[in-house]
Amino acid sequence: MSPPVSFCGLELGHPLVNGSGTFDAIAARRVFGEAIATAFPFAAFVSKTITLEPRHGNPPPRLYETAGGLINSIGLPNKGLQGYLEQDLPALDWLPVPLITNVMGSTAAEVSVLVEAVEARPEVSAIELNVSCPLTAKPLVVKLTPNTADVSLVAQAAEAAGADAVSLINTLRAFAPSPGGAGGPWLGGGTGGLSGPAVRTVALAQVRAVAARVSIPIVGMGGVSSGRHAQDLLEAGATLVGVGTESFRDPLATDRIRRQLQEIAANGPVSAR
Amino acid sequence: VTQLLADALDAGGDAEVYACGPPPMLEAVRALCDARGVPAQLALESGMACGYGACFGCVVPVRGGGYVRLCVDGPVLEAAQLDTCLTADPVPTQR
Repeated sequence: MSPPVSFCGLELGHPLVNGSGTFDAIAARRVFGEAIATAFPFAAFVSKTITLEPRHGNPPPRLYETAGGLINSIGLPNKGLQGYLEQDLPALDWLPVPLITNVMGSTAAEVSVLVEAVEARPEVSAIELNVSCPLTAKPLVVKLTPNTADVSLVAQAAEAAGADAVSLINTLRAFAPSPGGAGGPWLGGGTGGLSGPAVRTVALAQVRAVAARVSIPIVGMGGVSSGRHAQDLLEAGATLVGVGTESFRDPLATDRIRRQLQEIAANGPVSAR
Repeated sequence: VTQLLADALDAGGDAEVYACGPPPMLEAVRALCDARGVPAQLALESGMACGYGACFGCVVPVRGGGYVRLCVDGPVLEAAQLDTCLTADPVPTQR
């Protein structure tokens, strides 16, 4: 077994979590049954993004496969805060790991309402946030976009504003042309976000840059599909590692990634073998 | 195909239509059945990322607003649920 990891006061069994929106614990339990509860692949479960009002999401098509990557333009469909509190939280009562609820608001007031409502629920251990930084009693993880000139400056601003941790990278803005030509978009949402193996080295660079500038813990993610990849992000300065697109290919891939990570830890650095 | 279907539906008698095929053809079938009040079930396709209801990537719009996921709510849908079949992916996801 890998040693437990301490993250913002949460004691986690190992360093692997899911990227928001890439794994659904409720849907997975429907498909995999009790097995998913007894052998949950992640050390904490990050919810898909919850907004104040329900959202239908973007018109399809929502997906485009690239060489080594996936562009999505899903548009954050969700039941809204009330639906999440009343339907999803009770449906997660079996969850064997801490729950990190991801929220997004378009104004500071909206974010406050979301954070306060989610924080009041005992089922929720921490909160991950896409934009500004309200004061919270529970740990607040700020998810950083890579679509900026210097992500480490944004990370510093989040730290200065009271964030307990940062997570990165979110998807890289990308455009998929319609096969019909004429320069139009394939995705119903226009542009989308690129994830998967294609962005892994971008994530490594950005996590390294952020780790050099902040002292709060980092959840590193981007294109991880093996224990080696997870180890690379840990060595770049991440405390936890997110697995995202690889979970689409295999929802239980993180079991394998964790075993590979344990093997690497047991064998020590390559140079010491 | 759609002319044959129209002739058959107009010949009278009870009918329910089951169809699969490219979105433009499914849309023609849907419209023909809709105009005649004939029930139909249509097998739709879409690129999928997860395949079990997590990613919301394989949706089609339904009447009255909103979307359903083809992986868990389909892939066969009642035609009466749909306003159009044309937003289903016309070709497999590109590389």
